[in-house]
Amino acid sequence: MKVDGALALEFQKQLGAGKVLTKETEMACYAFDSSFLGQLTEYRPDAVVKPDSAGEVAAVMRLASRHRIPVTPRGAGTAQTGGAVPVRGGIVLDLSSLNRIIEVDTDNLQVLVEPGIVHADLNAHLARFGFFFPPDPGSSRMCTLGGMVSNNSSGMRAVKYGTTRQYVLGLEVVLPGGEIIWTGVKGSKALKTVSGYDLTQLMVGSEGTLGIITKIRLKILPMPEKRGLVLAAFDTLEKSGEAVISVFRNRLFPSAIEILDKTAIRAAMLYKPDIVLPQAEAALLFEVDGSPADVVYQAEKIAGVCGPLAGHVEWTDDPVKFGKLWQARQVVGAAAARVKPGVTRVYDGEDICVPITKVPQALRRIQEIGARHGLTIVTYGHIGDGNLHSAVMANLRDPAEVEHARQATDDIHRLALELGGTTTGEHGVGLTRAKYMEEEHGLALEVMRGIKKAFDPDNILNPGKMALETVAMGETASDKTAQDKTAVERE
Amino acid sequence: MALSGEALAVEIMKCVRCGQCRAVCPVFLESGAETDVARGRIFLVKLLMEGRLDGKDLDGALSRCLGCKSCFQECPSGVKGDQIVLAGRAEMVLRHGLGWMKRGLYRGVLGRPKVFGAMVGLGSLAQRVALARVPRDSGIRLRLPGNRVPRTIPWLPRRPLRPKGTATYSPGGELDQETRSALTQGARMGPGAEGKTAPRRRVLYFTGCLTNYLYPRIGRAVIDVLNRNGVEVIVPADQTCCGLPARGAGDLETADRLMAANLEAMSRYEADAIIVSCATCLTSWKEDYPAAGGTLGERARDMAAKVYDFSQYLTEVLEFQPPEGALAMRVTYHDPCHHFKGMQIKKEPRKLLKAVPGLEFKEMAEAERCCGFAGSFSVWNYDLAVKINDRKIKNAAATGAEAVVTGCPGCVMHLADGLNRNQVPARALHLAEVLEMAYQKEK
Ligand SMILES: Cc1cc2nc3c(=O)[nH]c(=O)nc-3n(C[C@H](O)[C@H](O)[C@H](O)COP(=O)(O)OP(=O)(O)OC[C@H]3O[C@@H](n4cnc5c(N)ncnc54)[C@H](O)[C@@H]3O)c2cc1C
Ligand code: SF4
Ligand code: SF4
Repeated sequence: MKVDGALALEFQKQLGAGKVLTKETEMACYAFDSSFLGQLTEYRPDAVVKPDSAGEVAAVMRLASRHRIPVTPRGAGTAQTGGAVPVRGGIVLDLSSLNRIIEVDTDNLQVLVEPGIVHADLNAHLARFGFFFPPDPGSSRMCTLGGMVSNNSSGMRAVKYGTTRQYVLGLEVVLPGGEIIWTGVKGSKALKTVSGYDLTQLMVGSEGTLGIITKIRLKILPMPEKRGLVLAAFDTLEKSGEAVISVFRNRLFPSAIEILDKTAIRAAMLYKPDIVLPQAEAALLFEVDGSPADVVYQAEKIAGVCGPLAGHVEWTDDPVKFGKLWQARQVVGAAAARVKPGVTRVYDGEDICVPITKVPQALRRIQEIGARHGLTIVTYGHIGDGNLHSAVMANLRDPAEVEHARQATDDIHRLALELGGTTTGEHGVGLTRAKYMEEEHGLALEVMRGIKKAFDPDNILNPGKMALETVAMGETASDKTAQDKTAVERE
Repeated sequence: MALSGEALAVEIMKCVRCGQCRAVCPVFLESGAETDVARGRIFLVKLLMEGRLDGKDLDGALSRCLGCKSCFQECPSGVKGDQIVLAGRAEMVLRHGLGWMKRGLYRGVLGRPKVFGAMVGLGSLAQRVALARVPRDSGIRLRLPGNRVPRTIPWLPRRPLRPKGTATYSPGGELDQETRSALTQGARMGPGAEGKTAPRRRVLYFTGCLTNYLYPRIGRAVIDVLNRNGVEVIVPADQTCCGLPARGAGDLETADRLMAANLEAMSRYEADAIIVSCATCLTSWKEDYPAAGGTLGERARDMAAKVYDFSQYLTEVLEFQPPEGALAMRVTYHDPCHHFKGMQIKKEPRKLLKAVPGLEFKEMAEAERCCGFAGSFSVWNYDLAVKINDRKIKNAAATGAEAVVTGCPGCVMHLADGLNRNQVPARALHLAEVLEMAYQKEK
């Protein structure tokens, strides 16, 4: 059902007028996230509601479920999947002002926060105590913890520190009918529990389809004393893959291993000419952390292991030089969009994850895909866990090029499946990758659909995502998504 | 020229909607609404240009942009969010006339020096009658129409800085009282004056509206400091508003008319440089004028190379003679958006402050964060401007400074208002004023 004037008034009565937005301009600004799909199609909500407390979220859900209005939770809208986009209209629940840090308990290695807190703000606060929340997405300065939990986000340091999942101890969740529950044992501060089904882990990565997260109990860690970096350049992609494997074989455990292929090396240097990288087919950056002595030991050893394979190796534990080298990796995302005037980066096919041993092959095949469609693709990523970020560049004002971009990103997704990987390593499914769900999960998708039904029998929470809707015989989930799209385009 | 046509469409397309501007847009950080951040505003301009939105509701989203360029500085894709907003405003003026943003202010007042002068004169009179007992130093509290919160604006001076004709001020050591009052009244007119030492250089001073009408004291300080550094200062007649407020409101016609007048006024004299002491005017001269098309644009590009911010000129071109007088005072510095984010001016003012004997400089947190003034923004969105400003004031107050120094009269005004509202016992001063105070301490 749609939110009409009368219903909007009722929401305003419950929450106060300032927290319910309905103007045309406002709806337009909540019609997208950073996904390619969102660039192509507008999915406007009927209303945006900005609650201030779990109680207000519960009130919204009670009203929404009574009137069967779709509700799409949203953090900062930085995801690249259309996850926070209201495909079926209804309400967008903007949780970004629910952003308090409720308690920091370093002795028990945990914090209690609200979901709207921005990742960088949380870590800046924790740094004062010498602690940190390890997952480190590139979107740190804008993404919210609620979005990170819902997408199970991670970053470069996932090699050693894992993903958001490892740090979520418990959640306060508002169910679609407005009931409030705690997962991970209510009121507990224990760091482990095996009591009951693990609903906490079920919620992590559920992309706003099962409940609204209103509080997060997170594990935190003491900050490492020091960090060091090894840079190695290789004249073939294969050698860079071998180097990563030898490092692990030599019982070394870097916190991050990043790869830039030659397109990414070129992009970084074009964008920031003061970044000097060796001309090579691939460059690897290994980050090590720990005690000062440990950092030196590991860095020297990694440099030694890479030596015979690489054309160029250097390492540093000097913070200034460290920053300069890391900069090369940090700017590639931005640099990609600047390599060619008149095009922009599209976020699709941007997150495949393949076995480490298949990374060199994947990188080469992605370049072939680009050549086939006449598009520039810059690839970089977390080779330490096989997660590659491809930046496909296209002129969105040219329909033919848009079509090529669609095909190229589909080819990249298919490549991941062919190589024994997955379409998404950390960004999520949302709308963008719903069409691969059947292929990736088979019968397991039916189990997921059953879980969805148990939580949300009326399908009001973030409907249309992750291919969770049970579809009529003969119709596939991707048909359904396609229907959604044409419906909106027609409107 | 403002962005338009193909260039505008490409600039809009460059926004990948990553949301990184959410981390820095001062308006968004207060309101938390997607309509108040670059990525939202950019999308709305896209809809407007594609004819998919008629703009009934649009004024709010576009008028609430400070033009502070924080988004541009932060944006990984290098999208000029502020320029896209300007293009949107211009489109709105084309379609809906000037009414959507307060027509009167730009066409009626800022665009016509005489009207502005008259209004200031009247206001000054009214203040004197109504607020006779308010001490001069504290500024006055005035309710502007439509604003619920009292707003401190400076004590309106009896006369603007600029006299009727062109005035020339030559270096002649310390200014005595007589010269000082002559300065304000423009008595020493005509090129070349009876300076005690031959001037090393000659510059033209582009004063800008705020300095001319509201803060002549800043203008006098600028002239004095330049004189003391051996520079002859000419204040050409017929210069007018730089045009940025009009450009900001989308009134390109007025903005271009003002630009032409200024280019004309400033090219009548031979000089080494054109000095500007207002961050907003500097943006006009350095970015907007040179972007114009045709012969006007060519002339503007030639002249722009000679335009310097006051602090830049002292540190980069002159061999700055630091004052010998000691000024025992703790100060902090606020970077005007148009300086730091637009022109990368950051070291220069600090270098000058640190050269003042006795002065203790203490950096504040987030020195480059917008003060919330942004010209007309703070007039029409006063409540929001106050919130943005409160954060600035808190950071400034935490340094324990007795003066918050900055390089733009607009920021001086908004900082003074904030210090007053938050009852922080510190003054807001232009850099030139601090230097002048130190010179005056010289024996
Ligand atoms: C430039 C850039 C770099 C990025 N780098 C990385 C990276 O390195 N690693 C990585 O993993 N991701 C990365 N991302 C993707 C994205 O930033 C993350 O997925 C992030 O965690 C999303 O947070 P958000 O607050 O923007 O969530 P949104 O986009 O607003 O929402 C994401 C999903 O979570 C749901 N949701 C949000 N809040 C709640 C809640 N409180 N309760 C229930 N459901 C909720 C939404 O419905 C949606 O399905 C990047 C994105 C960009 C634009
Ligand atoms: S303006 Fe820049 S920072 Fe903001 S969303 Fe667009 S691309 Fe990202
Ligand atoms: S110019 Fe300033 S106020 Fe305007 S959108 Fe950019 S950051 Fe926000």
